[in-house]
Amino acid sequence: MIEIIKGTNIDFTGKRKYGFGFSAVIIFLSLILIFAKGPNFGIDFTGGALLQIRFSEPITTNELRNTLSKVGKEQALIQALGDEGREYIIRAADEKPVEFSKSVKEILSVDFPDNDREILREETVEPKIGKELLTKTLWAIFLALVLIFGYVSFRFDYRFGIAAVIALFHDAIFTIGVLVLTQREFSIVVVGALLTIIGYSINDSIVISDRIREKYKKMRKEPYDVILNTGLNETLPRTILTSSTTLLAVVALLIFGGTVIADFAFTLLIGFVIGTYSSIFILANIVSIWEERFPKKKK
Amino acid sequence: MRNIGLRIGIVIFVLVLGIIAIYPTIRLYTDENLSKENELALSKKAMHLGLDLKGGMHLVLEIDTTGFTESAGDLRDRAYEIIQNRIDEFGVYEPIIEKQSGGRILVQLPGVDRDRAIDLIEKVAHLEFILVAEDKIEEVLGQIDKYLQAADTFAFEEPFRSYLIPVEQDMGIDVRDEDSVRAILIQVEDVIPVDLQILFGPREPHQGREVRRLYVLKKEAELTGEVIRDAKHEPAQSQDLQHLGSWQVSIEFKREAARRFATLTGKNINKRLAIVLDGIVQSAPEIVQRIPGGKAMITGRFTAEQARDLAIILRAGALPAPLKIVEERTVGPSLGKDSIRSGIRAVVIAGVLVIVFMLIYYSLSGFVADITLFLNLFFLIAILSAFRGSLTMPGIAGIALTIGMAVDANVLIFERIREELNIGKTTRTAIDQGFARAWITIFDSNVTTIIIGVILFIFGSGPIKGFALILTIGLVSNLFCAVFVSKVIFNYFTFKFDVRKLRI
Repeated sequence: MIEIIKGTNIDFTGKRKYGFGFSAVIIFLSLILIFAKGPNFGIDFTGGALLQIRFSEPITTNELRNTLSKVGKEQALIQALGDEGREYIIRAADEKPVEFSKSVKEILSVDFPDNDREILREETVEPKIGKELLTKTLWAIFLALVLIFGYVSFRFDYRFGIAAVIALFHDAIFTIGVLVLTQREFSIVVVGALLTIIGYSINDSIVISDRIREKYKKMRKEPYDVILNTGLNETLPRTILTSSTTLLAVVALLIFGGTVIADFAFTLLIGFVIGTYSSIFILANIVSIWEERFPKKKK
Repeated sequence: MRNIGLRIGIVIFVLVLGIIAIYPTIRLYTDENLSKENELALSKKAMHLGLDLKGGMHLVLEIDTTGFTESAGDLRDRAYEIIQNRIDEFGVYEPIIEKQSGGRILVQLPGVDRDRAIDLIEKVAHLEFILVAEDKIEEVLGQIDKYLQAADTFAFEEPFRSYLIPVEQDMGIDVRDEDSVRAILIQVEDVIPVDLQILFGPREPHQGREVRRLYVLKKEAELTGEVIRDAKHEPAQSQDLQHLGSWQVSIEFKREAARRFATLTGKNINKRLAIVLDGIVQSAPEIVQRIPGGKAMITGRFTAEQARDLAIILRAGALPAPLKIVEERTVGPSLGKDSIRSGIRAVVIAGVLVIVFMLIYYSLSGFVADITLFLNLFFLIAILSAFRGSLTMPGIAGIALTIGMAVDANVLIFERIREELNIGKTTRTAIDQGFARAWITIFDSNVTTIIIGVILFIFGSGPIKGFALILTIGLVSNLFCAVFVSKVIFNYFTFKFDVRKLRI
């Protein structure tokens, strides 16, 4: 048995200006990215078609693009899977996804008559369905935030609730920023991952808040800063350990889980890292600033 | 050391329940010599694979109400019945067909041939028997050309007839001209007499090119498909070499319709009667004699499969209105297999990493955590089996994630016990206090994740639902395993071996 982290005494609240500074910078950059470039919305939200095709003989991306341009589909995104040139994903936002899919399949059989193809995946989503899904997704996220705010406020106090929700926005914005930066597809599965991140991040926040609450009762004489710091330091081993095991699992998923789940795992990885950071540096510090400005009377 | 016997009893009881629940799943997916009956019986009690792992199609169809006075809901209900009949007869294993709001129908079919299934579902199957207006052909063609020449002074002679080529006794067009011909037909809509219409036949090869026949038909149908009592597919008996090996569909009319059909054929001997399916003329045989038996034949270039599917569709009846595919997600069987393989690999690797990590970090106590982790996965699959839940690819990701997150409870408890030991408490007190203090934190943090799980389950679509299900079940079973079971293990061993120094 080992104890890597023991009896730390890091002055988290004293260093809060670095934390806030760092967060301000990454959030600012993320927001610029999100508004300037916009998320690379998948067909789930824009409507469109996706074809994942495996060829028996390798072909190049250029050959494929040439073929697609014959039916006016050169705007489609072509993604090669693996490096053998046998498997491709063709994806495009399109007003008429069913026709898109059909014409791509037809022109492929004209241009590559002897290259046997297997359609591994075929998805078409009408733009109208995409819009509905987007609305539904926003509602789901909103509902998640409200319920979490409610629960945390009920179990702790509303200041923790608000701080927790701010931390969640922080995590979500940064994760979306990274997704925009890496041009990953923003699909319904990625939204699922974002909600999971919210759940995970709040988990950390609760464990820390719980300890702070406990310390608050025991250390009434101490200044609020000391209470927060003690809480954070005492939970630090747990925070790091749990993050480690979770990250181990997510990295395994990302590396070995295959193409279908890669975006999901990537989103989780980014979100869990930032979620752990925000639980330590953001949540408690928001509460501590609040306490400084508007001290709550100790009972 | 209260009730240790009772608590061990509870653990064993739950374990037995778990084994009973998980057995059909294990058997279904590992025993390769299962008989069909056994497989069916087992699958009713086992965990299912989602469409993304098994391969299959997920369709959302929307009823097109243009030109109908009925409400979308009514039309949808009727279409639903018919689609259900068609799919039943087609023979798909465990299909899901559900009505949805907004005039929509959800259809999920595991492991089917995509194109065939879409044909089967989407085909309206509106069957009509319409007389061919052969005596009017020249007149109609002449009027079209006259109109076109008048509209465009630069047009050469016979702007329409120049497209036509003879196909056996009919006229036809090259399919490469189809778009132009259709454009003309729309343009001259008003020229064609109100009691007549021009319809196409299916694509067919003719003298080295692909053609479609063109028919001038009466507007009014003599009989429609609602009068069909039965439809069967059978090999074509035609001596014609072109149709050799092809199949046909024989239909049988209801009694009253059979009489009308007899009269119809009796009155129109030597005329041609077109059999029109969804606006396409399948064939237009000449009526040789009165047909009294109430039977007719739809011939064409059908393969056995096509003829069988057509017979199914005709028996099930026509859709009340066209259906449009608004969402399709089809996964081929080999992608599903790839996903399962890589998913299992990721889960195993995640598991091994976490298990080793816990062993190194917490030594013997880490071993207890590993046992509860195994138990957690066991219960996860058992509960999923008991509720006949579906395992999807995001669900597999959820299992990996559960492995990573589930040890959180153990970590919380162990860290607490370490703290208690550090301030000098005895082993037993430290264990009791550690569990007691960690419990509330574990509960709070799990509740929020369960909130997320439930939201994902309600709002998410298929695969995401699978993820939400695993996440939620995993957390609930984790509460039991990591808190209850692991405490029983700790209490039992410290009691039995009188452990003074806990290796944690």
